[in-house]
Amino acid sequence: MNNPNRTASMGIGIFVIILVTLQIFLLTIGLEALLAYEPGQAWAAAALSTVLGAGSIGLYVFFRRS
Amino acid sequence: MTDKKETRALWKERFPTETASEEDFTRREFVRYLVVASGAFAATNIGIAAWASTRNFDTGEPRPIVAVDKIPENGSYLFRYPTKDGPAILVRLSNGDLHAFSQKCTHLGCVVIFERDEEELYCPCHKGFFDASDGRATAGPPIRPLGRIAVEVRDGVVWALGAEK
Ligand code: FES
Repeated sequence: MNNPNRTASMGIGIFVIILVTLQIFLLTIGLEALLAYEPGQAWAAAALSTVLGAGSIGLYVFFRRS
Repeated sequence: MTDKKETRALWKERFPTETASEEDFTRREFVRYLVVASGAFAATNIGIAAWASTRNFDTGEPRPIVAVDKIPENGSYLFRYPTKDGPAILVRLSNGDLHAFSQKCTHLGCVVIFERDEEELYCPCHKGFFDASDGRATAGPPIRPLGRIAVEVRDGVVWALGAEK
């Protein structure tokens, strides 16, 4: 029998791990692009990072409402 | 069996893994921290992108480097290009070809040196290797090639014509 609370907490934990890992990865991509004089790549990393930031704001709003 | 249970209980009592404040840490608060952290990452990335857009690549001015006969065959000559802060290396391969590169390793910026035996450029910091004919990263942590510097021989003197990305 699955405990729904536990399942939800695990889901959030996995979401957080993926989100932070991706953000760190995007930061390294951005820095690499900076060193390689590739502003296009740096902006792409920044855009994705912003999308992830917006995703976490969405999660926050969801929790505030629930 | 009972002893084991008691021991564990005693251990938990003496070294509790939960603190009183932990109970107050709600899921909502946790997500709030997550939003702040994620926002900080996004803001940093935007800052880096803006910085990357304003950074201009200095290609340098054409200038003489050294007389060809001063560079030993299968040897190298160190110089500064495009500015005084830019370490660069000119290599003369055994087939007589001349190639110049920025000496800054594309991994973490240590200076590369010429390996005569293998005719390749080597970074001693983390054992990175580059092809001495085109600057391609061939082994180790570097991924990007070394910055190339176009060279030309004019009246027995090697000229640097400009740095390339
Ligand atoms: S700095 Fe050159 S391999 Fe790491």
